[in-house]
This record gives sequence, structure tokens and C-alpha cells, in this order.
Amino acid sequence: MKFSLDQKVKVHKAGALALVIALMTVATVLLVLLIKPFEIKVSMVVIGQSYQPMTIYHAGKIPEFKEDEFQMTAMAESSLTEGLSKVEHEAKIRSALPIHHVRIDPFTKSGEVLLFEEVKMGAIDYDYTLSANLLMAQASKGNQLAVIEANEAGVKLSSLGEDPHFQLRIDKALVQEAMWLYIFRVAAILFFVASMMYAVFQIVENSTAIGAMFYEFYASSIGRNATRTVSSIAGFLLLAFAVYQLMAMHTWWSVERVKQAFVADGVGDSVPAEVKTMKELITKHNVQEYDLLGDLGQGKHYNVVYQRATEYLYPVRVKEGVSNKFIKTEFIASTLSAGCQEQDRKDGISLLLCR
Amino acid sequence: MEYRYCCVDKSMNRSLLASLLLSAYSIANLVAWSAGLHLSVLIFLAVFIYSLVYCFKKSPLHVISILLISTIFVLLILSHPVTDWDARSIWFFHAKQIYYEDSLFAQLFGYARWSHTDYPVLVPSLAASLAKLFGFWNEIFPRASVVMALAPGFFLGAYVFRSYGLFAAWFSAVILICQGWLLNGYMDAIVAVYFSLGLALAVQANISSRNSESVSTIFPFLGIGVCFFHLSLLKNEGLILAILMVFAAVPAMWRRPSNSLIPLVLLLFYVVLWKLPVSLAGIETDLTANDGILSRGIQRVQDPTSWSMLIDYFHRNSYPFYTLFGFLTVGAVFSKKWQFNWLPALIALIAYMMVLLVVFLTTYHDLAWHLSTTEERLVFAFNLGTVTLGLYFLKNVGEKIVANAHKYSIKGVEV
Repeated sequence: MKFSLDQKVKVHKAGALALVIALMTVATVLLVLLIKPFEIKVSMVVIGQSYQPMTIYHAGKIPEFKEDEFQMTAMAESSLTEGLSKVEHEAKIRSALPIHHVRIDPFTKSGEVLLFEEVKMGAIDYDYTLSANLLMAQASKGNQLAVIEANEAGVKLSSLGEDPHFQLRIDKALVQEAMWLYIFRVAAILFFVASMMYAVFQIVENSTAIGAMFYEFYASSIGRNATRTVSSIAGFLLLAFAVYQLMAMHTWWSVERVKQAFVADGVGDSVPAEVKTMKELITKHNVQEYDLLGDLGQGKHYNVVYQRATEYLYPVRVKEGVSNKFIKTEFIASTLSAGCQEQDRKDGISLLLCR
Repeated sequence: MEYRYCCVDKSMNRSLLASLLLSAYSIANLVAWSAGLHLSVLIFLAVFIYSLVYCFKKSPLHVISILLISTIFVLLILSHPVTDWDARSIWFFHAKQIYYEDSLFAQLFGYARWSHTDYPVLVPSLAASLAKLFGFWNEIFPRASVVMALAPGFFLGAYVFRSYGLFAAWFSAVILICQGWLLNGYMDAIVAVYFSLGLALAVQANISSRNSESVSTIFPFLGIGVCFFHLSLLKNEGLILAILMVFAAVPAMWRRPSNSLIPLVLLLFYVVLWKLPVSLAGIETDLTANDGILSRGIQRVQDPTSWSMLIDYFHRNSYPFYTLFGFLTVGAVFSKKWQFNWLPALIALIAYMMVLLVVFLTTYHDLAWHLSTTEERLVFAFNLGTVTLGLYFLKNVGEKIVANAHKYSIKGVEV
């Protein structure tokens, strides 16, 4: 059966229209689901008899935990005495919707015991540590596990079954979406819909080859500007989607933060408080070189304070054996008897001058 | 009516010129820093703005895309200080040293050797120049130099893909694959951008080398030169990627040996400007400095747990791209037309994954720790390279359809 040209054109128009409407619907849904502006970080320090891989789930206001899960990444493990291991676990969870609950599955088999030394929840610039009481209260409502002990050292849990787990409720501050991102998301959806409607209009008007089933028709119409216009629109929309997803990872963005970017010596957000204090003392006393004593310098560049001091205080350099030394004020007594004088102190850090 | 790319073609050649000019700034800036001087970032900005206007006069979407996205990138970067390990303790610490010591080789003076002082200094030199513009150093704005490092790649992408639709698709792939790694101060995403463009340019050079007009291969080789320069001086692994990228252009160099001068000259530049001073300072890269590489490798090869971790790593971070890679490889293997042009680029991709495998097998770190701290950034080169070659394939198919379009006509339909 031979089809006339008019019939072919009608079929192609209808096919193109249906395809673009379907794409429009899928793109809008994807925009909402794939862009994940809500992110939380959960970190735990756990002591147990052996390395325990952990799994974490997340849910919204109603704690219905779906199958998507995150393996908590184990950080450096250090062995303690009595055959115990200390492991730091961390997981970052991103979601298209606000995260109100997480579920922790800490055990792999029945009868195991774990001490939760520390549990922290956070976003990029805000975090809080769960107190032992709060952790115990949440864990005691858990499934197939029991709270053995809760004190300053942490909360000790034991597994009673094959699927032990407990839930944690997330602090409100972590679940808020920045207003600018919310407005932008609505505007982006409207922009997508409007652009797709324009694309449909172009296709219907110019009967281009999108959705065409016949090669010759496609080849003969490729020269039409409408095809390039539609492919340009599609490319721009895809790019806008990609950029928007990147922006959604920066929900903490604000104009005030950008203004801070041009303050001399910047904002030492990534620097420990001890190092910021050292900077103030260095500037006040015009110190050219310094040494780090006790906790501050133990382990050299494996020590976080030593590392951050090396970077942040530069061009003032850390050097062993120089007369200017930093030490935590609580440990100053031993150094004073060794011929050092305290020059200054601030916020628990002392600057010494030693001969 | 024959469809012609005339107006688009000229502006896209201009975008190659823009990429060269911006790269020339980076080269001149590096040379200046080696003499204790620097080039003002205002020169870079002027070239960038002028290039946008000059190259894309007839294509406002290109201008909007590149300018808007660069601005968004910079604004996102300015919203928080550099916090990630490598960015803070390696790249931007080296930049700080260059800034304060007024020397490209400041990190070779022996201070803080644990910060990988052998690592190259392209982005640190740009960050130091940016800091000189403002007259002070802080933890935040110097990181905007990653956008300066990416800018030549944006223009090169416009040259490679020509039509806006494909350029935007490639640009989207860069952002969707690399995501936050583009801006956090790590070099892996930037390296992946230049490696992927270099592979597409290698294929273009191989195709063009069959053309009797000799000028048609010089353009892609100039683009390969831009990629080689950036790869070799972004990070140590970049040199391996640069060599693999040049391998992908072997068929073109075989036909036109004079084109191999471009990567050779840039290799010499890299050795003289950076590798020689590092060697004279007695600094080795940490991966090779530790003894027992061979014994560690043999031990891990025989260890099923190591293989399990490695297979999980490569699967988890690259599985969406294996199908596309497979499709391209099957086509390249079984098509005589494709073999010459495409197969070397695909071999380069798989060779990179082999190199990664060897690095992991022989690492002196604990393997689990190394894999977990590496995350997905090391496979960006493979992932983005595969997608880029796929898009470049689409571009070639589209051009072939256009070239043959005049053969087809339908009665009553105006073409």
C-alpha cells in the first residue's frame, strides 16, 4: 500500500508531536526528581571487635524507608587494646525531597556489640553531635537491638536478631531548602514547559524530521532551519538542567558569603580554632617562625592542626627548634620549667619564648 | 540546495584561535612566574571577553552559554572556602607559596614536602596571578582560577562540535559527569575535559589526514597542542593522558609527520620548565618513590579480595559508559572505515583504565583506603572520553547525512 506525501507528512507531524509531549513530561519529572538539593552528612565513630560495614537509609516526614541505601564509607581504622577496632564511618546522602529521618543498620549478625562513641549529623556549614542521651533514646526504640550502656564514653548497643536497626530524626535546620533555590526550581520548571511548547510549535509549523521514520524525508528536510532551532533548544535545555543540578548542590549559597570572598585573609572556615588563634598571636607579636609542642605538633603532618597550621599560617613557617613555640595552655606547666616564658595566651593557646 | 556550514565553520575556526590565545596566556604566565614575574589576569579577561564577541557573532547561544556558565561557576566557587584535601593542601597551598615567594618553583625549596611538591603548577600559577590582582591571599577567591583553566576548553569544545546542539550536549555531559569536582579545586575534572577533547581532535586529525589539503590537519593538531599543554601541566597523571591522546593521533602523524612537532615541542617545554627543576631539587613522585612496587603488585594480583575491591570500584564508577564504549569499539573493530580513524582513540581509553589498574595494584597505600579516598574522580577521563567520542560520532553521522541530502528529493516538497 503506497502512502501519499500528505499522509506521510501527517503521520510525521503526529509522531513528532507525541514524542515531544512525552519528552516534555519526562523532562519535567526528571527535573524534580534528579535534582537533589537536600544533602546531609552522617558520621559515626564506632568501636567494636571487628570492622563492621554499615548501611544507612533515608526518608521524608513519614519514615518509610525505601530500598535505596548508602554504604557508610569506613575511614582510617585504628586498633585499640583488647582486640577492639575503632572505625570512623561517613555517608553523604542527597535527595530531591527534604530528609527528615535516617535509618542506621549497624550490625551484620546477631550477638555483636558496638560502642557508638560519636554520632554527628551535618550539612556543608552546619553540624551537630548527638548527645549520648539523645542517641540512647532513639536507639532504644530500635528494632532487634538493645542498649547495654550509655555514659560519657558513648552508647553501647548489642544486636538481638538478624535485621537490627534504629532510626534517627534529623534536626530541622538541615531540612530547609534555601528560598532562592526553591524559587529558581519553580522558574526552571516553567521555563522547561514553555520551551518545550515552543519546540512543539516549531515542529508542527515546519514539519521537521524529528520522529521521522523515513530516511529520505529526514535527509531532504535537514536543511531547514527549524531542525537546527529545535536541536539548539534541546541542547540549551539540557545544559540548563545540568547547570541547575550543579547549583542545587550549593544550597548554602548567599550574597553575604560571596562578599566574604574578598575580605583580606579570607574566612578560615576550614581551619581549626586553634590555628586561627595562632594566626592572631603571630600577627600581634610579629612571629617569623614557630614550633608546635604537645598535642598541636604530635605526629607532624599526620596531625590535622599541624597540617592546617602549615598551610594557613604560611608564609610564617613551622620549624623545629625555633624559640617561638605554641602549646595548649593546659600543658604549659612542663615547658615553663624548661626555660620557656609565656609571651601571650588566647582561647587555650599559649605562645612561648624559649631559650 | 546544498546545505553549507560556511558561516558556522569560520566562527568555529575562530574559537580554536580563542582557545590558542587563552592557552598562550597560561604559557606566558608560567614563563613569567619562572622569572619572578606574572601576567595580569586582566589580560586573560580581555582575551576571554573579546573571544566571545569575535568568535560567536552569529551564534548568541554560544556566548550566553559560555559567559553565563563561567559566571555561575565563579559565583558558586566564591560561596565557600577551599576545604577538600588535595585542593587545600596541594594545589592552592602551592599557589600560596608561588604568590608569597614570587617564584614558580617555591614549592621545590623543601618546605612541607608532604604536600606533593613534585605536582605541576598550571592552576597554582593562575591562582597566584589572580591573588596578585587583588593584592592579598585568602582561602576563597583564588579557586576561581579553575574557571580560567577550563576556559580554553570551552572554546575548544565549540570548535570540535561546531553546531550549538552538540556543543551544549557535550558541555552538559561535562557538568553531569564531573559535577562538583569541576569547581572544588581538584584537577581531575579539568584533566578529563582536555583528554576527552584531545581524543575527539585526534579522530578529526585522522579523518582529515586522508584529505589532500595539508591545512586540514594543522587545525586539529593545534587543538591537540592546547590539550597536551594543559594535561601535562595540570597534574602528573595528565602527562600519561597526554601521551595516550597523542597515540590516538598516530594515524594522522603517520601520514603527516610534521604534525608531530607540536606535541614534541610542548613535551620539551614541560620537561624544561617543570620536570627538570623538580629533578634537580631531588624530588620524586610518591607513587614511584617507595620500594617494593613489583612485590606489592604481584601480591595483590594473587589476592581475590583486592580484585573484588577493584572490580567493584570500576563497575560502580563507570558502568553506565561501558555500553557506549562497547558500541563504539565493535564499530571500530568491524568497520574498515572506522579502524583507522577511531580505533586508536578507543585503545587510548582502555589503556588509561589499564594504567589505573596497575597504579591501584602497586600502590603503597592500603588499597581500600586508596580506593575510598580516590572516589570516582580518576575515571572521569574514561567516562567523559567515551561520551565525547559518542557525541563526535553523532556529529560525523549528521555531517554525512547533510552531505548526501542533495541526493534525496520528494516531489512537491521544497528542500
